[in-house]
Amino acid sequence: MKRVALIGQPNCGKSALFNAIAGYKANSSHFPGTTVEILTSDVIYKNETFELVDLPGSYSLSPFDKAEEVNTLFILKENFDLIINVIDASILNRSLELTIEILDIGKPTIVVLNMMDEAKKKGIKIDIEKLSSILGVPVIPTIALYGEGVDNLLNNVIELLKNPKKNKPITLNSTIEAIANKLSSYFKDREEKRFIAFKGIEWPELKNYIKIPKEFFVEIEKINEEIEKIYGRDIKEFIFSERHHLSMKIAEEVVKVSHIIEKTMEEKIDKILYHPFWGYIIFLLSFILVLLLIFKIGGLLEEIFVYPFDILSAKFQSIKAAKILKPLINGTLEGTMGAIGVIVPFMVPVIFFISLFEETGFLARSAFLFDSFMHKIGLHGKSIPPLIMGFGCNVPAISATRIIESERDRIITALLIPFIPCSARTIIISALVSKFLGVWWALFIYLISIVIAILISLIASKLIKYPAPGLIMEIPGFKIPSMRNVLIKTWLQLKPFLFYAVPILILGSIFIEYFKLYGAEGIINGILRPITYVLNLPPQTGFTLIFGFLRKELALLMLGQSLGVKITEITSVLTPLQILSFTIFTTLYVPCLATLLIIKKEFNGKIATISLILNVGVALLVTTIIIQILKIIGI
Amino acid sequence: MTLINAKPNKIYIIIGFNGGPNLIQRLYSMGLYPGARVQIVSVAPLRGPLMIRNIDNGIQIALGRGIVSKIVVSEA
Repeated sequence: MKRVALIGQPNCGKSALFNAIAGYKANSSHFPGTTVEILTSDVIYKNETFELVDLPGSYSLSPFDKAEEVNTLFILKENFDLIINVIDASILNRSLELTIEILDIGKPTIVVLNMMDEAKKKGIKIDIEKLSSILGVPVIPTIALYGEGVDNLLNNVIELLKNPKKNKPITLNSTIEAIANKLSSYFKDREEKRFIAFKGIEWPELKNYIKIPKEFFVEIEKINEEIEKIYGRDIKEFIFSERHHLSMKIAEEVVKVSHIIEKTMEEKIDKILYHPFWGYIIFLLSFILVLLLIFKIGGLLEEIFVYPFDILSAKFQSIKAAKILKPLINGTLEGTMGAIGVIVPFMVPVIFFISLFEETGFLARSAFLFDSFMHKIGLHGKSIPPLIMGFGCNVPAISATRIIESERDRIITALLIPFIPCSARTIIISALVSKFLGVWWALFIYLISIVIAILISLIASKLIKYPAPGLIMEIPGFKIPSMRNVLIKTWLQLKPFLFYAVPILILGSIFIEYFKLYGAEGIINGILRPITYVLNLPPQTGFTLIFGFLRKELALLMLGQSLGVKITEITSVLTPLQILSFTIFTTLYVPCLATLLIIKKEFNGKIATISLILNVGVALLVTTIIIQILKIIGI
Repeated sequence: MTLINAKPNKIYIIIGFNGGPNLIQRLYSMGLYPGARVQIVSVAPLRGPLMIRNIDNGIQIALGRGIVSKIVVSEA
């Protein structure tokens, strides 16, 4: 199948375009050598099919952090037939710098001028035909958010896939052209030799990924000396500033600004959001409000969803079956009820609100607001977005640490993320603590997790000293979120849960019923008794903790099963203190298996082991202390 | 003067940078380059980062103080 790569700078509306084309049908996948998840989708248009690949946003193809490496490595190592370069039409001059780099690759390319409505709002008019003739590639205007121009784009894609037309690179000044010609002769057998030659100068780490002859670097040294002598600047700077001037010149030729920019409504809201005082108040209030909404909406949905299962299970109780089949029936029923009746109702509001947060651009803003606080605990602002993402799911949050430039900060942030209650743990907190003990106890667990993360960061940064580098981060303007995008994002996260996790949960339930039948459960509970004893929990809960390691939701599901009651009636067998103890311990004791695996993949086995020991240790210590204190106070 | 000594909300023009090529390239590609008119729009408390706005295209970039002190500007 033909393959089309979407490349663009951050915040250019690339994901909106991907959603407009691929919609809810997207799949996430990993490419060899990368752990960043990349969305792909098979697109069928007018009887033609191609695979669309959504590469992560990148300012330049000379990578500055691990996330940006993905683009450059994809271009060098993967097979693909066409590039769609998405541009924010309202900041054409900046975006064209990346376009010039892309045209060096020599693959058939289409430039998409996205966010045409934003450009219009700012009074910017672009001569599209002229731009197309300067760049030598088709230029298609779109408003991806509303699907405008997408048909036109797809027609052009199909046309270009059928009759591939290689583009010519944009010529820079004669000195640089001479350098490019000389250096690309080292990669004669590669189609994208000009691109490789430039990246060899601008990104020395390239040598770790493709074979580069030694003489190439000797040659660069020689050229660099000459350039410094004549122009007084570093060769790298010489090239990128030339690229910059050229894109300014092209933008000047095709852009007309007709009226002065007026302050929009969104800009006014923005001014309050990053205000040095109100910004924090609004941030904290919305965080607490969202949690409360999740608890309330989830609780309401649960009551609706669980009802049909109650009727069903009453029917099944009366059925007589062979002893060997009984666990199968019970397990299937309990598993389905737990997954669909309890977990899904709480999961939907969690992922909905996290997607909403992401759409408004709140995440990036929090990096600005909390940078100085993060410095106080030994990190810096860029650690904040991955940590907040951790509230959704720890696994992509660990991958998101790639935006952090310093390796030390990446490791510390990755060790903190498992302490952030992800959606699965929020479900447990909602279904047990918020429901039976009240929302304030639920918020208390969040507070504990955050305090622990702060303390660990403080200790870790004392142990590994290193001055935190300064923050550099674009803060996109506040956007009133598009409901369509939020809903698509929510569905994209719910889908894998329904199709992969629910069957696992049901199988797990059946499994535990058979374990109970043959008494194997007792052995594990016996081994884990010291832990459950310290935690003030009944012996039967030991077994559920093991399952929580595979998937956190399983711990909730099995809690009821192992104690022989429905989750919705757990108070008949556990005291409020025990519910609290179980929930705090489950929230803290270990990231799930998937999180440990991604830590091992992103870093190494040693870091994953440290993370495991740290979590179990802290969970035991903290839960015991809290329970003892509450006992003394007499709650 | 450098941008760290600039007054908030006043407009300045970037003249150059006192930094290595990697940092300069990053600032260029994010939209801060010599000739650009910029403004400090917000300062985070407790010696936090500064929000810099390129008033020609509306791009906003949060920069730590160390980096802001490497941006050479003159009054517009």
